[in-house]
Amino acid sequence: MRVKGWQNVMKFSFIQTVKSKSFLIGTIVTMTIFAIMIALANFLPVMLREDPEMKDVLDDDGNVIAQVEALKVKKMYLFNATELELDFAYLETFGVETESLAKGEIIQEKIEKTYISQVAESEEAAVFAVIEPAEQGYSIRMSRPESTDLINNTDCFALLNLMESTMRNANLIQLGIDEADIGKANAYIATSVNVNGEEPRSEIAEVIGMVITMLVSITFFTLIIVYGQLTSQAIATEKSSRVMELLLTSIQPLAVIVGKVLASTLVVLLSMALVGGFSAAVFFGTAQFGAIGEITGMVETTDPVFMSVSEELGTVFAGFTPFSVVLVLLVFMLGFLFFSLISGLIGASVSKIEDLQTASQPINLIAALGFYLTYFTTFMGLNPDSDGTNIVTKIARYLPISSPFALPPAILTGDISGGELAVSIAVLAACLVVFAIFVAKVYEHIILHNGDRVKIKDMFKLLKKAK
Amino acid sequence: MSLHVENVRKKYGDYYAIKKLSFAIERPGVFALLGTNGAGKTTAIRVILGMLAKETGTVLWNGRPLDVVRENVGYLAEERGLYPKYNIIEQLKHFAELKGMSKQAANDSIDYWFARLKVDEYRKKRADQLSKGNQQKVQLAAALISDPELLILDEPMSGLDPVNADLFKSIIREQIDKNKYVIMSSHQMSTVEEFCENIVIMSKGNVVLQGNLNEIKRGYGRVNLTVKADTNIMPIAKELGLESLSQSPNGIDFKVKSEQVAQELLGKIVSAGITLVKFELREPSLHEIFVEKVGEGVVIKGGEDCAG
Repeated sequence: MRVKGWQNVMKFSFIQTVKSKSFLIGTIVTMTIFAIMIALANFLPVMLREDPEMKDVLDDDGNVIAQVEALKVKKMYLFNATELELDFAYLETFGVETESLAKGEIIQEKIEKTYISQVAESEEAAVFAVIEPAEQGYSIRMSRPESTDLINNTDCFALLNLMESTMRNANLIQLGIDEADIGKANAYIATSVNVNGEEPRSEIAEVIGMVITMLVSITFFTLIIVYGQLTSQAIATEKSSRVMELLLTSIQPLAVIVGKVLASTLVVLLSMALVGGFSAAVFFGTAQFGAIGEITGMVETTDPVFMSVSEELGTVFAGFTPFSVVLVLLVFMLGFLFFSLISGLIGASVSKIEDLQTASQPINLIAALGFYLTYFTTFMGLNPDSDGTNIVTKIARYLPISSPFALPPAILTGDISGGELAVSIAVLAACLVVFAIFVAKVYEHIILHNGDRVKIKDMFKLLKKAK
Repeated sequence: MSLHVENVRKKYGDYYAIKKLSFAIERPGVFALLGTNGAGKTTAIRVILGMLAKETGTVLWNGRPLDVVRENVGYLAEERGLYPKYNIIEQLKHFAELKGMSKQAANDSIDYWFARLKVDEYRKKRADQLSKGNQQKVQLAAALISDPELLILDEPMSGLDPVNADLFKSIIREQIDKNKYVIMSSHQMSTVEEFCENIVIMSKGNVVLQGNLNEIKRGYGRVNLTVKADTNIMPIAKELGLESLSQSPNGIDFKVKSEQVAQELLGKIVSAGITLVKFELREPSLHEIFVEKVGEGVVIKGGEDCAG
């Protein structure tokens, strides 16, 4: 058999690589980085989180009947230049003290000038609001302090929303509509959008999907580039150190590349298992003390943002099963083998280690192209679920240079149909087989080549000759 | 067992690295592949081993095409090869495994050869921590680890100090005693003369001389004459048409056309009453034949006509 002995090559290469300092240090560094990233993601949001100030809502007898979140604005200077009878006393419930400025005493322009500058320089959470008639109704202009440490635009809009609602009701009352009818007019109206009869993902879910795609594609790209080069380095080292000649008295050239490629694959899987296992341990070990636990539902949360993200995570990973993980691993391994075979061929095409970097440039560019095809289509919001017509993402899923990066996140988030997935995997597997045949035919002709590196066109000439 | 190399031709692009190489090794012993640098010796070895494809020709071992993966073949490459950063014992175990040896047999063989080659103390070292000579010894151990029937040694002695060269020679002698087939390329003619019965001399891809070394020498005849006397003998030599090739404290060297001319010279010296210190008539050395052949490329009696 032409590949007899590949197991020995694989075993030896795997053990020597795993024993090497570079692997040990690289793995420990990667584990540390992942642990730090998980810890930061877990603890930072909790550390930076400010518990909202709650205010009691009292009935006429002074009993607490509910609690509402206090607004950040604590003081409002109000100049009402309209004829509307506005009562903002209820804002007290939200922690906002309102000071109405009497009309007529001082001209509006002077008031504005005074209070705008007073509020701008204020060191308390105070705003100045002017309500005045506008061409098509009314306007509320709000001035806030210069510094956003106390109040930002969002805080102002939270107060403006309440004021807008109050003004609308006051306007209706002035038009002769009683409060009961206003309540009916403001009845809640539920709205929804659907795609093909199904509720589409929310914007948060889209963002989560995008982040997952980016993280997975970056991780897989890094693994393929870093560990894929193990094959070319190993073969180039054997060539340059002349070990190859000794090996070829015992095994066929094809056994060397098969053994090396599979050894690199085992190394990357071991690395993934070590880093993944350690990261999972850190993840689950620390989750209950931080944001991850709240987001994943491992511990109860009262944070509305976490609750919302938690709910959306469930939507994003609705189709996630152990089979999805198997599929992701399958796609990754096919992609890794594909790039590793190219890497092996490049290792065989050079005679000196120094030439390897130059010779590896084309494969690095191809892998980068595949990666960016996935990365940017996601980044640019071209996910097919958002508009259903993203041809670039579809191409990225079918091209063997990009499908190893594009398919795994799509599988994890259920963004791909079974048929599309089957065709994509079949295309990747078929390309792998065709390329392996090409490598098998060319490899033994270039393995002992010395001198300038063998160029791609020379490889095709050799292929023609081999036929 | 036998090795037959027939009409082997190898080209690199338009350049013939080997134009036509044929030889046979019918019985155990050392066969020498000689030639200047770039003559095509290493290419010939790689073609024999099947590492390089040949344009034409056959390499038969016991009547079947030689398949080094199936047969037990040992090889010491000219450019030594070990993994620089790996432990040498682990490397040798790997090479032994690739030869299909069991773990126990590999360990026993490594123990034997490390002791025999005096590299036992370097067991736990990496290859790049060893001297060039010691790396060469480990390489030889790798070539011999499976006790091969056919052993190919490409410049085995180059770069070795005299002590280690003697060690290598003793190991080659052991292989001859064990009836192994050895192909050796070398630039050290004295070593080749010591071991080899049959030789091929290559020059620029051509075989310029090949055959049994003794027969080749006999073909030349005893034509190298060295004379040392207490008086100048040159006038007598010139009477017989002899010109001196070189003069040294050891005497004057001549090339004679036949033994009869040498006898005539001896008669005339004795008749003249000159006291002779040395009168030596001998066959040319391999070194002299090699220099002559690769320098001129002419045909020599006793050897097979290969030039041109």
